[in-house]
Amino acid sequence: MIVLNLQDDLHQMFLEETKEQLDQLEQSLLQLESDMYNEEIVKTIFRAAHSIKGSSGVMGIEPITKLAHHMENVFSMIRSNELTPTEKIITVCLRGLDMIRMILASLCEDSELDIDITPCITDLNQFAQQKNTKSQIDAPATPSSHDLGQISLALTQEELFLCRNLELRGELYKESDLRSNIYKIVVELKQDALMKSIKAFLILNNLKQIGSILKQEPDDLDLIIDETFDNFIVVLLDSHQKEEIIYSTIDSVSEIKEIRIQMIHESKYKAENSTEALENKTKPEERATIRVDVHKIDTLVNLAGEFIIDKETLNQLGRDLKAKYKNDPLIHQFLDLLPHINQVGADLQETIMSTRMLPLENTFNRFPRLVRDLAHRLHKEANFVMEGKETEIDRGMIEELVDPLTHLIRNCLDHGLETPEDRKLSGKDPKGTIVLSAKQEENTVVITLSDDGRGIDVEKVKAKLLSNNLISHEQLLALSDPEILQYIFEPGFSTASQISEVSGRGVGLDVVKANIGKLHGIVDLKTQKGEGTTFTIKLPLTLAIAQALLIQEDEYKFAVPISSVIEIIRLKDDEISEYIHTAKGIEIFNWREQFIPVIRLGKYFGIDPTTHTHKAFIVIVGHSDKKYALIVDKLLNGQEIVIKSLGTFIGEDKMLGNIHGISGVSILGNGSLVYVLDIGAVRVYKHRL
Amino acid sequence: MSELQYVVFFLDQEEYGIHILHTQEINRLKDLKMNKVPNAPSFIQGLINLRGEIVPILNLRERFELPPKKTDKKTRVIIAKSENKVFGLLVDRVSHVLQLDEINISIPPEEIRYNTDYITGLGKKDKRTIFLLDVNKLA
Repeated sequence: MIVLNLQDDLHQMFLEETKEQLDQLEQSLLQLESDMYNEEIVKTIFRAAHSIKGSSGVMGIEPITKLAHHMENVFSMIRSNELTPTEKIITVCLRGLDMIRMILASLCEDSELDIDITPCITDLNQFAQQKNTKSQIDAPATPSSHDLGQISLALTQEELFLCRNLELRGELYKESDLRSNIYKIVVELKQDALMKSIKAFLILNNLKQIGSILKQEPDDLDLIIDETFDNFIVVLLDSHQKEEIIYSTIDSVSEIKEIRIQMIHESKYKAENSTEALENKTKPEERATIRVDVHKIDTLVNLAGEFIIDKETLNQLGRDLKAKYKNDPLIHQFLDLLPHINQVGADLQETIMSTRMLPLENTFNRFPRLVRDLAHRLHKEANFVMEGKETEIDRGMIEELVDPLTHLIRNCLDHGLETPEDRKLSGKDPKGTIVLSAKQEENTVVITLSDDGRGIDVEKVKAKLLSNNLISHEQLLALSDPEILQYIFEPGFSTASQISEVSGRGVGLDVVKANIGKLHGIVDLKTQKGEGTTFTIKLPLTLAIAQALLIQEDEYKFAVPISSVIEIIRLKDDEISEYIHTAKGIEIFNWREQFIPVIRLGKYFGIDPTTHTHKAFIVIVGHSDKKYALIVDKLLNGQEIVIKSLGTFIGEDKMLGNIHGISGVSILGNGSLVYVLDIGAVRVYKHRL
Repeated sequence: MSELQYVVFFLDQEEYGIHILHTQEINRLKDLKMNKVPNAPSFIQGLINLRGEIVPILNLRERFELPPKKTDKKTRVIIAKSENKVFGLLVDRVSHVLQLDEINISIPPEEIRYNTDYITGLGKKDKRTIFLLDVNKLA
């Protein structure tokens, strides 16, 4: 068997396409499970299996071809109502699908293939033998060997209707619209022709080049299976070409027995404009797309980042030059150019960033399977609903989201949902509901995961905090329930008393919070005992470039993403005592009758303030549930920054240690660095850990 | 028998060496714009912007718990490459590139290895002893 070489474009294409088909197949199988009689889904599955069979056949990967062939068989029977879909069939098909994935993976790594596909194929074969004889009779008879006389050139009712419609259209629209003739074409393939579906496809495709097909029979080419196909193709064609041309167009396909063409409607306008019409007809209607190596996109993003930095420098330079050489006409020429550069820069950046945006679909689509398998394993019943998976987000984040979301969903199934028995006892539907939804809100993407399970028991959390020594008794008394719930995001917290295979391996929600924090996002939860829990994740749309407010403390410069700045307030010295109060070293600020903790940025980062001004700038930062009042020394300007992650250097056991509150740096126009504040990771007081 | 090349530098009285394949370049300190990092460990001298890449600089005297020394015109920053990161080492001075036969490299005694896991070997050349450092352990 061949080894897949990722450098080879053909192999790469095969892999990508097969993966897409497999994803499609998996999704449809899962959909079918909840909607067993949906014919559209069955057709989709059949098509996906069919194309996997075809492409793997071309590549000569026999086990995949075999598996796909047997799946195709089963679903071809389901489609013709000879077999009723069951959960068992879906389970076996999913297993087959996993095998195909494993085979592909092992082919890529050039490792020994030790996957035994026989049991799966035996199972599939068994299904195929359980022909549903009863429904076979009910099934709509697939067109079987008509004799030649039955397919005549006479118009059927439907065809007549189409023609009349066309005439009507001719009256309604401008005269130039109706310049073509309508032909009825009957093509008969030779009885022993090979690959009839492809022949039919070629014929139809050729005809599409010279006109538009109003009606075709059979209308679904996938229905053409050599064994059952009756060799006739009937087409109603709207074309400006002459009969001879149509004839030769069809005749270019081999193994045709007979072609009959009849003009059934003649255009009143002879084809002077035919070439123009031809051009119009052949214009591709789909939006053209190309596949691009992601590294190229990443390079483009980096280059755009560099350009933005240089652009800022140019602007600074422009201001300096203007101040220095006020009357030099060259300077004015230069200054006139700057707005255009700024505009181009902004457009460039926006366009490049938009190429990096992908729908969350890619991440979300793996979850139905996860939920299904987990629910089976945990003996729970779950109805999994996904909303807004078309929401787009930076592709850098898509991959990073998989782990946290997987973790949350596992958590949800394992701890959140009760067993069907328990649910019945508490008067709920034995089948729990889990909703994963995403939507865009201004410059953020909000992902929520909610369940209608048992909710989180605050008392249990309290007991756990005490027994794990995460917090003292006195501290506990001072905290409100929502504040206590925040502790489930602390390292070393896990309420499940038994460590299960599914979740609760000591690592827990703290990892989720850390992962989301890395993406400059925040995670929060709401829970109602007995009614369920909702986790909310808020993420910025893109990672790399942000509008930020620059702050100076002594020699350090900091940047706060504008998205987390709520308000900027200037206080005079005498107002400070009125608005800021202290309790045991913790300062709070009275902001619009709401008390929020104060962070003196200089003190927080251990910087000695050199100047004591008689006024203070307070920057209110945060989000709806957690806000801080930053007291800062000096406010600089707002500007666009390109954030460079310090992820490889900041963190536990890393070179720079755990600097709570800094997530990255950005290079300013003059080459100096600013530290990008990560408000989510700021901690006012040290937890006892 | 293979010969290994080491970039040799001084810290206080001792000589240290880094494998040449783990060094990217050597810069004068005064050519670099150092940015202090708030709340970072004391041995972090700062961050520099090395042609668009953010590179942290370790003060090796501080890291090896040696007495501090004022930087002078001989102070150098060796840009080192470990498996997945690039970082700088602030050293007193860089002397030369040394060729060492494998035979002249011995494993340091247990006590050294226990306390300072970044010392992977002791190089001997004439009457000199050179501490050979593992860049991956420093990062």
